[in-house]
Amino acid sequence: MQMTKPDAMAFDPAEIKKLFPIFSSHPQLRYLDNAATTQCPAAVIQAVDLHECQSRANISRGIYPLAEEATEAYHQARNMLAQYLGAQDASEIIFTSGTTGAINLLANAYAVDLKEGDEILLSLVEHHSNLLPWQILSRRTGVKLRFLPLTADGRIDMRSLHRLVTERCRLVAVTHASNVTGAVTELGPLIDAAHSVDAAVLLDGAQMAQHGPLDINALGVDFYALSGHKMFGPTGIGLLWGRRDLLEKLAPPFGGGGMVHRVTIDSFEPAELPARLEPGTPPIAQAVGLAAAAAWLMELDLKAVESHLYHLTGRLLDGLNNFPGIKLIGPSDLYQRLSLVSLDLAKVHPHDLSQIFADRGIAVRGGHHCAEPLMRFFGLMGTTRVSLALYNDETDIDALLLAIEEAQRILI
Amino acid sequence: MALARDPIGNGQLEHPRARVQLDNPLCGDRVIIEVTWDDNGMLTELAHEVQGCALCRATASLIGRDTPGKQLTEIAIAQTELERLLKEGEEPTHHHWQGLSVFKPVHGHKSRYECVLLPFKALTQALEV
Repeated sequence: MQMTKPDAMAFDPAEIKKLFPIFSSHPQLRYLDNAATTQCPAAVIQAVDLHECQSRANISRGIYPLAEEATEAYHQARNMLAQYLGAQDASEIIFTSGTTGAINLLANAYAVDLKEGDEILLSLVEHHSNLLPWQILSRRTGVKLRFLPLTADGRIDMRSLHRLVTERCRLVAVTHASNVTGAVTELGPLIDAAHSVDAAVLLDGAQMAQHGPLDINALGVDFYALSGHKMFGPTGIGLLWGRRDLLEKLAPPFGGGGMVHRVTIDSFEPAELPARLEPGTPPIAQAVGLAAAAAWLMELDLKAVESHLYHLTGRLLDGLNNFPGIKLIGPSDLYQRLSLVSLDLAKVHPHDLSQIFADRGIAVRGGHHCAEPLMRFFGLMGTTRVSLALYNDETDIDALLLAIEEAQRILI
Repeated sequence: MALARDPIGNGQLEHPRARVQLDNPLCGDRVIIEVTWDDNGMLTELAHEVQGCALCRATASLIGRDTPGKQLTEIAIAQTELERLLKEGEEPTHHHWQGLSVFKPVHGHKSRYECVLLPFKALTQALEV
């Protein structure tokens, strides 16, 4: 998918930054690890705080007012997330612990119906969260995993798509955007190929979620997973969205309270969606916080945010390109990538570079980013990843570039 | 940085008595240690190969410099001294291991402790084989 080039718009990250208490606690912090976790605005923290102070109770069972209030808050959270995804039916939203929890839920549910010889198509760019659940499934069921190759710049190479999507393919599970290369996946051909053999499509939306509301039906996928803590929400909450007809076919892989109509000592009759896939007490306050994050994002001028992030990413890429010995990972076209850049500085280990940054108050991530097969593809042990969010500004980029100069003096 | 830049003991042994490979799952760093020791419990030869950060390479280099000729029991003390230095900031007390104090600046940086300890862990594991 080619991202649209937005018009340049005025945007003041300093005003946005004031909304995030972490920057009051740490005024010198240059936080460039947003692909790992974004920070929380006060609106989200206050929503969680308010819920815990005024509405805390377990949901769906108690008949006292507080329980009804908590239940309503949880339902409203689901409604807000449905709105964020553009889903008409809120019961298609299954709250999970995060993207990892969502994909594991789906893998475990799929395990019931898959047979040896069935195939699941992944790609070499996937985060371990969209690889290991399928490897575990493969060991349990004999399902064969196949992998879409990558282009030299780390995008999913669609040229072998029709060879790899066979009649035995039951699911295509790929990232919406890579946490290492930043590349945004080209969805059209992938979805067409999968649906031509009645295979479903799951997108790992962990990296895309912070970039604003989706139109899930227009995307054309069948399942979508995301994490709250990567979209300015709390940790411990995420979701799996699925098309209702597909979710209804999934046998609940996990059991517990709140997910049944009737139970005998021999069997049980599962409840309707979404409860059938949410056993036990859910992360209620976290769901309220995630809904607050979604609402907060939906109130922003997202065109202006997008323009700001493209501007910063361009400044970062231009600056990095001026250094000798730096290899940039990912698409060279600014508009085919998210606002994250992975780099390899020759002769410098990512942890050493990250330490130089850390000593100067700059937070980045060094390592394999839970994408070891991708690192092997690039012939690297790891990279240093700089990932931006709307509260970053030009001074963050310039401080980082200056730190690289210092790192080259110290480490090489 | 000098220890990391100019590795001491880097390479392989022709006839190692033990060989251990350890990875750091957090960052993918890899250390391979090969050793021989005699019947009196003295480490006679050591070689290492490191794919890792400067701290990891520096520890391997220090091991390559300071452990050959030492008793295995003394090497076990070194790892304890190093762990105490990293976690508590306490200077090494054993006269053989004063050189470990180059890692004192790492004290307080918990995420880097494993970088420093990995070669020692590989070594002590090799000596237990």
